[in-house]
Amino acid sequence: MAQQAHRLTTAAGIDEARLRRFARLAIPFLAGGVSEGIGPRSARDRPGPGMEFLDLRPYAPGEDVRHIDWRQTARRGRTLVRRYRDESAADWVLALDGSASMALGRKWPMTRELSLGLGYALLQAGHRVSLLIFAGRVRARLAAGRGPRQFAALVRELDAWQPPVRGGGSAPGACAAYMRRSGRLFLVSDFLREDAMAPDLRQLRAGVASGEALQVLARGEIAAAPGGTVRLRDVEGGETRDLVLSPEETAAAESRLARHTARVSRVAARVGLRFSACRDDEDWERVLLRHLGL
Amino acid sequence: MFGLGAPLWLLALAVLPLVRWLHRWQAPLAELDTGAGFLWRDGEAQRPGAAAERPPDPAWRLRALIAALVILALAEPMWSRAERTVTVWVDDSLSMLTTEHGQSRLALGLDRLATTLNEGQTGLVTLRSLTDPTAALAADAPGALSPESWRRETGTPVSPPPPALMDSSSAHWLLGDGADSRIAGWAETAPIERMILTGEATDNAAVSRLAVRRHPADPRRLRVLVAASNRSRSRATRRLILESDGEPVENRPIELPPGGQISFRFEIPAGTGRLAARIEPGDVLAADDVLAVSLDDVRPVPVRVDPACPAELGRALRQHPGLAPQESAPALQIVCGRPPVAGIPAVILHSGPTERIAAAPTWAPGDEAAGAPRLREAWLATTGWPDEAAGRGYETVLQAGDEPLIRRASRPFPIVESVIDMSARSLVRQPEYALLVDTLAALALGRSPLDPVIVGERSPGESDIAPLAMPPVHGPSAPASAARASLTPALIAAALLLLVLDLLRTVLAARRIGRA
Repeated sequence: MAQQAHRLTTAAGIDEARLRRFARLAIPFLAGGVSEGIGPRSARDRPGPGMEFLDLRPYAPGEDVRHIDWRQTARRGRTLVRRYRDESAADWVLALDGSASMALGRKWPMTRELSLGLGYALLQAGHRVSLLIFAGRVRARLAAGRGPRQFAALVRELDAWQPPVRGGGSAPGACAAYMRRSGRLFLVSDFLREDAMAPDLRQLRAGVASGEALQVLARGEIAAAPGGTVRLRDVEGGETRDLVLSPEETAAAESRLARHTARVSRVAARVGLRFSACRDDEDWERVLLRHLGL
Repeated sequence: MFGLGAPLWLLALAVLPLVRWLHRWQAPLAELDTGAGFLWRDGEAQRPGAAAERPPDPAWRLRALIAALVILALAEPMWSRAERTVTVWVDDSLSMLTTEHGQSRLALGLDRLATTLNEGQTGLVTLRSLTDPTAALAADAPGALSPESWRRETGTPVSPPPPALMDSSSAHWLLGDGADSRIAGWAETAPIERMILTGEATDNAAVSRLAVRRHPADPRRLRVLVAASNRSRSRATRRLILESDGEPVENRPIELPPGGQISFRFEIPAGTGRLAARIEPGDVLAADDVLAVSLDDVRPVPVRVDPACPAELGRALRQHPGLAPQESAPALQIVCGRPPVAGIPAVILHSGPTERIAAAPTWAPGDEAAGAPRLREAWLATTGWPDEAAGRGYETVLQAGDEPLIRRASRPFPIVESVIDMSARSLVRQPEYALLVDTLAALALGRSPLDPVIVGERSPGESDIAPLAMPPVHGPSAPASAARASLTPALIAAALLLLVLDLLRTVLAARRIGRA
């Protein structure tokens, strides 16, 4: 796999050394879908959806309440959840938002880099990885697979997809049909939908054992005020609006975006998805490590 | 003082609203793609697709200002500092009618003045006559610079303007020929800033006096005196022609010494209309080559005499050389007992019981000096004044003690009333009786009809056309023009500056949109 991965990563413009380094760091925290940020453990001690009790840890918002150890919670006076030793490799679904809004800025290239890095690490860890690219519906799909061949297929699928410039929509719920109850979800999107995609997230989370959500926003998501009247066009809905862009108005939109991100975060926590956000000009490795708690 | 050279351009300001209207049709807006239109939903959103209803581009104000500045610049605004008015004193005396180079000195001077005014930028220019300083014409008034507005047919003597009209806040110019010594003397001390002098000719002969009177021995003839003067430096030879009612009655050669004046006497048949004296051939100043008088005042005055008047009065009137009793077209009426005809000067002689006067008669001061006869109280008997004669605003002419004997009123027409008994033998026998009748007629006519002398004359100085040496001008020789500063360059510069700012703003906005 190493030689083939080298060819692929070179073709994909990704430094394989960085992939390996990231995999080495991330694999311990990808096994069970949860991480504690306490350093690497042996594979035997990976927490995960197994049957063997591993330890207790404080409850974090978004975690499955079924894992709360009520007895210990009552005894120690704080909410604790039980963790089990990860006993097997899992099926991971990389659900990527390929809608028109992801074509703005470097959001799609960033999503691609994140997917490649995460996919490489997961495949290195022996997990099965599948890929779903959605817009208003699922637009591309890579069936679950293992090994370097799957990574090659992953690279090809990602390289083959370019978000449309106009039209479509963002409906991650369309991926629900491809979820498995024991599977794990890694959702990458800008989550720029007025309802914060709450119904879709709820639907997706119900179909998997655990899930991650990563928001990618463009650095220029809120356009700088050009000092005049502009016609703002929603690339997905096609709605246009003539605005007199002033610095005050731009600042207000930035504020609304921050509130929207906070709302997405609350929705993700409510449905049990670990959530983090990044900008499209950040380093993918740092973003993933930050998301995993490293 | 602010002024505009082409104020009609200001009408173009009316198109400024068009600038705003045109800015409603803006170029297609720069489009910005966003993945989250809902984030802008609460902004200053306008209804999409309503470009025609969009408010005008705010840049219209700046561009309208640029257009306004350009229009104002086209209107040639000027700012004049310390603008002064100019008073041009026009010598419109007889000598200014001297013809030189095909036109009169006055016309030539007015032409030069017009040229000066057109070349210089002066404020309000007023033209005043030196023959009538109170008359003024603005230079831009119709005909003000036309000789016809100033020509005097009969030479009116010029005189220096009164000091009250020499306003120190105004510049004073003189337009003349320098031929009048009084004006030349005035110009030496007057604050004249500019002189427009015309005139080169020096030789001129003129008829300076024409006097006519009835021949004392033959009322059908006239005695005429003609004075001709030569205001030249050389002897002048002319022919002197007398015309009565347009017909020559005398024609003789005359020779006039330089600078001299010679009088010529004639006896001619009495004409009825006009007598003119002319010298020929004419010279550069034709206006003073002839003098004419009307003979109306030389003819005997027709008098209508009331038949009720005393016969002695009628005889005296018939003997009077200046009065001609007749019924038709009288210029004087003498009534005794009947009312006078309105509109004709009248002598009213009241009649009735008479009585001797108790005091010596005395004339009013002016009438005695005018040659009224000295009357004695012993000669006079008077009647009483009728009641209706009171209240006419009479002026007593002759009185005895407190009792008026003759009085006169000028309204509604000249009326002289007398209560002297004109048939009293003591008076009729006196030689003063004829003088009393003449005095009564003279009081009613306003002049003595006895020996009228008709005179037409012009002063010898009026015919002086030789320009004198004029003193140098006082004060600045430049025209009293206001220093005017054109505001056009400043307005153009401001418009260009704003245009550059507008371009910069447009370019920067385009770059920002491009970056966004």
